[in-house]
Amino acid sequence: MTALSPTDIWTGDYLVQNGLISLRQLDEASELAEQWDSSLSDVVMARNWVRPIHYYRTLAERFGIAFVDLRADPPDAALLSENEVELYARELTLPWKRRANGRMVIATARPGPEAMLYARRRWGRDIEIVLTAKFDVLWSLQSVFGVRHSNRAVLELAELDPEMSARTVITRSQVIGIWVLFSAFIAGLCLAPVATLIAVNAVMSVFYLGNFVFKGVLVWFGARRQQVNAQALDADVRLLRDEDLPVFTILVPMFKEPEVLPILANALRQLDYPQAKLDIKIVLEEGDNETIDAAKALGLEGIFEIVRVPASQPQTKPKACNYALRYARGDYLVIYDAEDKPEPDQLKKVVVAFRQMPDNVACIQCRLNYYNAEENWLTRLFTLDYSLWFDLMLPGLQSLNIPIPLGGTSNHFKIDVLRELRAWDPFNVTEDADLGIRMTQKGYRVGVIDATTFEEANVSQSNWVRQRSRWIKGYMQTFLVHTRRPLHLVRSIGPLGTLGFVFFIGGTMLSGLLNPIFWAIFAAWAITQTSGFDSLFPPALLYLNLFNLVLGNGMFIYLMMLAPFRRRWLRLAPFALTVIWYWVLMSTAAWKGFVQLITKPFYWEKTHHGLSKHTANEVAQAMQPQADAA
Amino acid sequence: MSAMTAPAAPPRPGSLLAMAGSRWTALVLAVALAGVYLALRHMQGPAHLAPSREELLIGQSLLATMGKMSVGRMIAAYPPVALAPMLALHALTGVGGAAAAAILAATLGGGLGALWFRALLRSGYGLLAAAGLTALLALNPLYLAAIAQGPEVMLTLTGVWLLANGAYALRHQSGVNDLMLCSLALTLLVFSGPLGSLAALAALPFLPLAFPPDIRPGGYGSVYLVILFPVVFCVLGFALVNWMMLHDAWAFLDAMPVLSHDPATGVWQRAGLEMLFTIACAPVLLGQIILVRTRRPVQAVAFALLGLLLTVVALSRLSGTGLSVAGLLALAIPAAAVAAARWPRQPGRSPRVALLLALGAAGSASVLLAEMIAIESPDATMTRQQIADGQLGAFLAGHDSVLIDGSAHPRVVAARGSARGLITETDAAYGLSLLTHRIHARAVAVAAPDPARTADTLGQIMPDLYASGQPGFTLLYDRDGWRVWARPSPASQRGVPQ
Repeated sequence: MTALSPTDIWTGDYLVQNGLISLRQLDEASELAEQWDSSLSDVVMARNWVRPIHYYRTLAERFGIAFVDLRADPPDAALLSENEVELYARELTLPWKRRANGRMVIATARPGPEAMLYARRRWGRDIEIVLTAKFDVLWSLQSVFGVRHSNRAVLELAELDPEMSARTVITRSQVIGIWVLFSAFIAGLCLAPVATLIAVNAVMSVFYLGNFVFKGVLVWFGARRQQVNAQALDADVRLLRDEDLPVFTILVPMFKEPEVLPILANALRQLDYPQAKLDIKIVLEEGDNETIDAAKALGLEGIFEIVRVPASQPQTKPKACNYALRYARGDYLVIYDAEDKPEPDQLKKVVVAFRQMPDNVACIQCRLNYYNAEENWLTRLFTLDYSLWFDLMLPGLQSLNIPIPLGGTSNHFKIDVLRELRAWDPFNVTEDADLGIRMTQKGYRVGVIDATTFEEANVSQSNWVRQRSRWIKGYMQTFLVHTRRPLHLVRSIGPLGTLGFVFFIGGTMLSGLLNPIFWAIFAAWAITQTSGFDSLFPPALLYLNLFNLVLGNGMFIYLMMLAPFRRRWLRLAPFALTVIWYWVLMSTAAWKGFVQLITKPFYWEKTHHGLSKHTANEVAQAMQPQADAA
Repeated sequence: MSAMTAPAAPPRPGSLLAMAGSRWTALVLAVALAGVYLALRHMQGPAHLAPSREELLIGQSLLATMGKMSVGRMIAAYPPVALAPMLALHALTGVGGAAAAAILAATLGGGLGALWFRALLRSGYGLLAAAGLTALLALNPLYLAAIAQGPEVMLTLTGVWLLANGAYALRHQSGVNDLMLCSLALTLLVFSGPLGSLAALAALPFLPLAFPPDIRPGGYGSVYLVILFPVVFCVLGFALVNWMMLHDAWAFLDAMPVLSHDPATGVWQRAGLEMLFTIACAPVLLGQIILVRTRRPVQAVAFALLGLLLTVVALSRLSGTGLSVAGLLALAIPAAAVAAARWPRQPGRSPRVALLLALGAAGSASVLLAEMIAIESPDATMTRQQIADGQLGAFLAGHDSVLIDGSAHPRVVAARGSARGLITETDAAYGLSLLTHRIHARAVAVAAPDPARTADTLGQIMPDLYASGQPGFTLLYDRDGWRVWARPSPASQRGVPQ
């Protein structure tokens, strides 16, 4: 516990004296500020007890300094440096004007001796301080730098590290490589058709074999010692003190999803983390007025902040996140989707995990799962799929030191590393997966912990195919990007890592594309009993194909069955028997993604959220406290 | 974590204990034990305690390695997990037939022994205690008898060992791996041979005793589904492979022992006696049930394992499978090994477990002795068909160019010692003979049409072959349902056994 600073004590008394907060609220705020090691003003704003404009005006009065409305009287852009935006945002302090006498006027939303010391250190002793609101500081920065930041959000990675960007979908050497392979295939078909088809068949069969053996090994390693690790993490979380926790930035990129905003706000309020140390940014596109209006109408607390991303192309989630990252103030940063419900202790677990794990662990991926698992067949299968992926396979990748493709949300970053890596690739439609691989290539590691975020599972098959086609297209982009320099890939992540990358990323997309071809051959053979395929299946290959057909498919079904065991969602296990239709959907999505990769590589296939009937209940529940308060 | 499975404090690096627990030590121990087993097997000769199925496997491997078995039959042959390593061993070293079976059985025996030693060390026994307990298990007479019975039985023992490990871990730790281990063990059991299949069947009613305690009975169905899915899927997959290769989905069942629908008198008494034998061979399980009352998970799994062993024996005897008693009772050894390793750490554990294992070894020796006395001659434990196949094989040892459905009668090939000189399904002459109904070989061996016997393709395609032979062929051999017809030649003018 850290005692309140004299400034906070005076401020608190003054707020009570002016009737802005009650004595009881002051007591509570003081206690929380000491417990969290935060300033009193952060606690008061986090609790939404005072309207910000009243608060800052009163504070200005209290300190006897002027209050400026930066929206009406914006700062002099010439005084602001683009390189220092992150600093301005973190300190909530920026140069506003220069007086005629040359004296610099500094606007701050953190009045007090600390801000004064900081300003003097940064701009010299001859300065004048004025007070402004936190939101005004951030709004001003976005007004001045918004367009430039938006451009950098799009182009920075592509210009400074082009080999790592998906802006070039396929490089010249990759085109030549594919052309050579294709030409060899055509030439082979002309000269020795049977031998060529046998060779292709053999390559695919070996790939299938490797794919399912690899995934079986992953699950085995992923499931080991999970209970022990989870217990150790829980124990360490209980030892954490709030005052030791760092500021955590939460980015919530949204686009035309006003209906799920209350769920998110409510879920974030439930987080077991000092609210004054949360820097929550709801990242909205400039033209998305319906979500902007919905966010305003919710009357969110001071910890929530709306970041409007200037309109530009491509209009993707990674671009929005890159943009918002400029204004992030935390030591760590996490991304949640709009409909996410993270487990309350997730942030604390992440802090503990970062402290436990080696320094080069720059990202912690939490598990994703669904709160509407039992809604229909698709949600059940999707839940099995996610349970397998996040509960078993990703921990397996971690155990085997194989690059982890990050999942869409709930990935927690060390913010300095994220900035160093130039964050997300806006041209990649699975920017998180790409970032996970890029991190490993740059010498960092990704950890996986036992903390879950619950989401809304897709309830509609067409919507699901749209979503999955984007994911698979993104995997294709990621695969193409990271195989541009094969030797570099092997050197940076090792042979096992490379093999894992090929099977995990390549295998996921390629099996979706190839499955229909093999299903069609098998169906044609089974129905017609034709001997036309006999020449393509010499004995050894036939054996391998049969092995794959029987054991491979059986094993994938089995792995799906195992997936819900850890969470004891045993009712879902029998649905794994129906996974074949799910694979058909997956192949449909894979081909759709493949076609889009050629025709519209950067197109962001939007998933519609809020379709679940559970969502309506969730919204009602989320709105209840406000309704009660009203 | 309770004392039951808490790992022992890691030994000091470089210490004797650390060295003993290393993988290299386990490997050396496995090789050494395998050598001992091979030597013992060589001195002991073939096992005569019971009708061994090893000849089937040896015959299949001889046919396969000499190119006398079609790829289809090879793929569809049962038990695949026993045949595949035999073929791999031949491909790698050139060793095949009986020698390959002996090496494989001894290697499995040595490997299991080394794994037991490692498991005992890891569960906190001292070096001497672990070595002593391993010796009591690995030199148990029943274990030696199991090794003498070949790879099939040893794979079944491996399956039981995996299942026992999975069951203890599932009950205690409830991890996904433990569930996978149980599935893997049951699948291995089913594909290791008839004995293993029977063990897998016997395990079913006892599985809930190993389920995690937080799973309510309503969830048992799903857990059963998860554990049994690989078994069922692999069986159906194997049936599919059989259908694709042999046009008969259930052809592999031919390798199963024929059940006797007319149990002999006194079978109940015999079953009861063998169940008592089982307890005598594995007192450590009974001891765990009685002495470890405060550790419910341990007690429950020990009860499940003992139930499994007793059920296997009872099922085998009552259904008249004629499976080897030594093989049945040997299942108690890996179960005892796991029970010893999972015995809760408490003062006096080592002597208590050692005493129980020693009692088990003594019980095994007594049981084996009693069985050996009861068996008048090696042939007394064999079926008529097995004897007949063996005799024909011995007769054919001196003959070449003999047309025979070798895949249907691998025991004949095993008894002959080689498939070279036989004309089987992979030879053009065999196919031509079937097509033309004319024998394109110097001799043909054909089994009597008998629904109780394995189907003989030659006899099916040429129904008169057994009775009349072929024009110009004379009867060279006629004994116990086998006839050999041959073209008259000086080489074939030998006496015809009647």
